Amino acid sequence: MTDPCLRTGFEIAADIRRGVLSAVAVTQAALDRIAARDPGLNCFTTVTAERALAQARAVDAQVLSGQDPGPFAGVPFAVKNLFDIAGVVTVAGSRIHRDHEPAKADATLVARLSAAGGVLLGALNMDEYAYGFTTENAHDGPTHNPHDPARVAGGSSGGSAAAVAAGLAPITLGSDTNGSIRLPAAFCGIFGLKPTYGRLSRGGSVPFVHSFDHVGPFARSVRDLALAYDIMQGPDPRDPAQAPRAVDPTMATLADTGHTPRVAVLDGWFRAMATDGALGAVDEVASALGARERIELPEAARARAAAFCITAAEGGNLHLPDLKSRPEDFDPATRPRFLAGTLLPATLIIQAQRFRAWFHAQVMRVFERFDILIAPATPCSAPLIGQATMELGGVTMPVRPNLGLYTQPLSFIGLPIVSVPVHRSGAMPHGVQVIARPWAEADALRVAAHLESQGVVRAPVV
Amino acid sequence: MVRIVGDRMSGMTEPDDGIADYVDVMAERVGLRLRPGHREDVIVAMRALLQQGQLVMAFPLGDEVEQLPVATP
Repeated sequence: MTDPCLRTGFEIAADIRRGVLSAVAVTQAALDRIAARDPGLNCFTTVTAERALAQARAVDAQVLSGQDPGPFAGVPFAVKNLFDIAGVVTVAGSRIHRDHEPAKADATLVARLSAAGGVLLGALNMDEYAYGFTTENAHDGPTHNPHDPARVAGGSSGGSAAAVAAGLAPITLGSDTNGSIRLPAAFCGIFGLKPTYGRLSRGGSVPFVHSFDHVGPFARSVRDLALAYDIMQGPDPRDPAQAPRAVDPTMATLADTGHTPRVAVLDGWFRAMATDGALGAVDEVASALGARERIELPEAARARAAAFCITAAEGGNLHLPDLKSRPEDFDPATRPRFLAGTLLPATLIIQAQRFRAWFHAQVMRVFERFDILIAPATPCSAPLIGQATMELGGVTMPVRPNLGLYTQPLSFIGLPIVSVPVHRSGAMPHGVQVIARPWAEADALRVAAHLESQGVVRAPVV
Repeated sequence: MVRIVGDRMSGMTEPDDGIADYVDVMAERVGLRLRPGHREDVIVAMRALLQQGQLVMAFPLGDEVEQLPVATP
């Protein structure tokens, strides 16, 4: 039988529900693989082996007794360590939170996946407080890219992406404020979904930038993204930003509906500094979708700049008490940016908020003409761990703040986006953003599924 | 003109753009006591933020454009 670690969550759940595969066997295989591979990758900061095996035994018992174990039956999953796990300290990549009490309850999304039969394997490495694009965490060490351990996994949800790419779990959760799902998904060659702002509950997760924090899944297939996403939808009073919308299942709509989406390729800002590899990936996807039109989002550079400033201001304000009392305990990579963020002039942040309204209106006009926009997820493939600068478009610039050039303008206004992986022999993977209008996650997932069925995008275990 | 600011032992030079002074004044106003070893990095981060901020501030917005304080789609 195929190694369960190489299978998708959907396949695992189907076989467990049919009684032909044991959840305990799947869980033990995942724990064994983590023990063997993770010391070289550093994805996990906590492995919840006891809980995982107990959950797996409960699933097997349900199957044996003829009860429905749920649509996520026995599927191993793991979460970025900013999600609460009952009994575990939620560190959010920080030293400071290690002093906190263990969480009393699971985060809403952890609880929903568990209630659907999921088996939680543990918590995953990230940039401190989600403020970074590389997961080179000063407290927990860097997460290594499974495609090349000398390279970063991307961030801030680097542990989540690398764990899926390495087959340590078929599905993980992360958060995305400025690109922290899409960017590591691209660098690790897997799929990632950043839903519309307000769609999935952030209840029980450590915030970073309240006004555009999102949470979502990583997987090696579009069907797994849809499976997890559908289970996690639904209202939750723990997240005041969640929109009061009905659940919108996507699993049944992944197949082509006969409707050909109007697709455009983002030009200008979204191509100017990209490497040939990143542009090649976009062009491949565009060709497969028959997208011939190129358009520019007006003032995308300013949108990125506004996101950059609001991020620092909101993040800095959130951590102001600790910045005052124990600044030495922050990661040196985040501390100066948080500190500077607390000092930004109010007029700049108000202007950035007003610009957000203007930019949002412009982009909504674009969606009157198109259903899907595509753009690179990153300007380049994964840089080396410790690499300080890179050259893009003939300009040498620092790596850490500039990897999110193409992701920041889009999450800034809360659009739903699937990052799809493009692999070429002998090269590091690239990611392409499949961008839909607000609340149209189903459209983005359907396009991603179409590309996957054509073999244009794929996510092999490495 | 270039002047020496901050940790004089480091020998680092900073452009005289007033950002170091701004950081010092504002830090005091919000109750932050910047450690000597942290201050230079904060000034660098502030300079990067204000550089991006200039792009935002330079954009003309009509009076009718209100704030969008969360990414409400």
